[in-house]
Amino acid sequence: MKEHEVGELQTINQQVMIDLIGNDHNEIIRFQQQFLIQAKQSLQHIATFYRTEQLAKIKEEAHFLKTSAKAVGAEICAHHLQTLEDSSQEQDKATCKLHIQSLSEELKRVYHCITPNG
Amino acid sequence: MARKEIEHIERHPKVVLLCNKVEELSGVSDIISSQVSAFRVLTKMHDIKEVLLESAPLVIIIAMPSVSASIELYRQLAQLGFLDYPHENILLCENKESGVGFRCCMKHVFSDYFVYKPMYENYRLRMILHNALLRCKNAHDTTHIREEHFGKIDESLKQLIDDAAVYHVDAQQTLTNARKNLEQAKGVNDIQTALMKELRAQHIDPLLDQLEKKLAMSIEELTNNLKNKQITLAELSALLIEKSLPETTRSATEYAAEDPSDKVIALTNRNIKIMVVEDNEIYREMISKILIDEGHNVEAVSSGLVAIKKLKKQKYDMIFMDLFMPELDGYNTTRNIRNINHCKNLPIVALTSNKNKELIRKWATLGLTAYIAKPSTKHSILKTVEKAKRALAS
Repeated sequence: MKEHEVGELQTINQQVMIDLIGNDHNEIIRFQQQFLIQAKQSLQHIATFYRTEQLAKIKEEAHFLKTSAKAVGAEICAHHLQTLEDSSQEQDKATCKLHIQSLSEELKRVYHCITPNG
Repeated sequence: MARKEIEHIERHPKVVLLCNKVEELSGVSDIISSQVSAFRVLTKMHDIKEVLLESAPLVIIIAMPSVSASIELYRQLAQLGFLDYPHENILLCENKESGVGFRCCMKHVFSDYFVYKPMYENYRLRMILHNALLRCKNAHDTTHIREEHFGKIDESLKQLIDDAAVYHVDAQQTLTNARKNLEQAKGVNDIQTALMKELRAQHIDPLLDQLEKKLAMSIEELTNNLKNKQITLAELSALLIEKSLPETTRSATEYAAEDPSDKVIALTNRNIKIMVVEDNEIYREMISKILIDEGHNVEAVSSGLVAIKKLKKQKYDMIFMDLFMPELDGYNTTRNIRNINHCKNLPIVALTSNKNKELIRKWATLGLTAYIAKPSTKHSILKTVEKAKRALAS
């Protein structure tokens, strides 16, 4: 992804889910909450894999979560997951750490964005 | 995701796999160990040196994180004098480094190379290993290729391959007998015998050599073509779909007997039975919801293995399938599915966010109806269903 494109990405792009499953507000909320639960678990897995230096596992987990991040319109999250996938494939542990931190920060933003009292 | 442990601790292995990340090579090790019992995976330098010294394995497979690391390890072992005996060496590398692997083999650094990441081809590895062992002396007892290693091949096709092999042996025997008879033949006097000897040396022997060589090449080509027949059909089918050409398996009279538009209309109007194969439960549920809302009968599964199991028991009209899944990826799942009799022409739509066009192209050779870039839209997904219905109708 080019730099100027990254700048155009949104924390949650509502239109993505509307285009995918239709304009059903309750369903959209349900999937978004499911995503938060899944992301929390995945992030814990990624942290464990990082500590145990299993970079190939990080790649798999990042790829897995990227699918749902894209589906719920968490565009910046999906971008961080893609870069994490790339750096783990390149066995670049230091860059992986930076992307994991960015991902963690972005997931907090997603939480605030989709939780009414967040 | 459960980590697979590898336990291959043969004391005097004839084949060794040198690596530092065993968990990434569990699939590859399972294939090797099923073919060669005297096999061991080694990760520690101390163990590697000990095994090389004590057992002098015939085949050394190296799978370090990069090709350069593999070359470095091999160089180090060679410099230390641990490789001063005849052996075969095979490089395992990632797809992105296949060019380097190829170059290494061209320069005779390694006997062969095999791409194991992100996906690997089971039978190709078996073939490389089998050939490497055949090239090694006294290794014939090491390889145990059994019927189940060949996977599911058509009975008639299997018969053809076996017939070709028998024909090869018969023809070679005939040529050997002809040589013997010629050697034993004598003329009525010394002059005639000398003339016959000269004729044999100058014309008949070279002719027999040439015949033998050509026969071996032809048989090998024929056998390989037969083995690849199923894949070639899949490639052709993929090309036909890609180029929107009509399939030509039905006769012209069959087409004339019915109005094709009736069948298309009937199929496009009815709801169909669809399988969704995706490991991410959120996306799996979303795709299923879109299809169920349209009235289709949907079965969603989380892995390729479950999909294959279900497809063996039940018929479906089409499949949506993810590329990267744990245990069995979309490509290998599709390969297995195409071996099920009623699934040879089953429309399969690839779900992928993968940017690697090569992987998708490789997958397409197995006959993909379409491919959808995740997350996609409801409109695109339903359009693909219509495309599959049309493929089914034609």
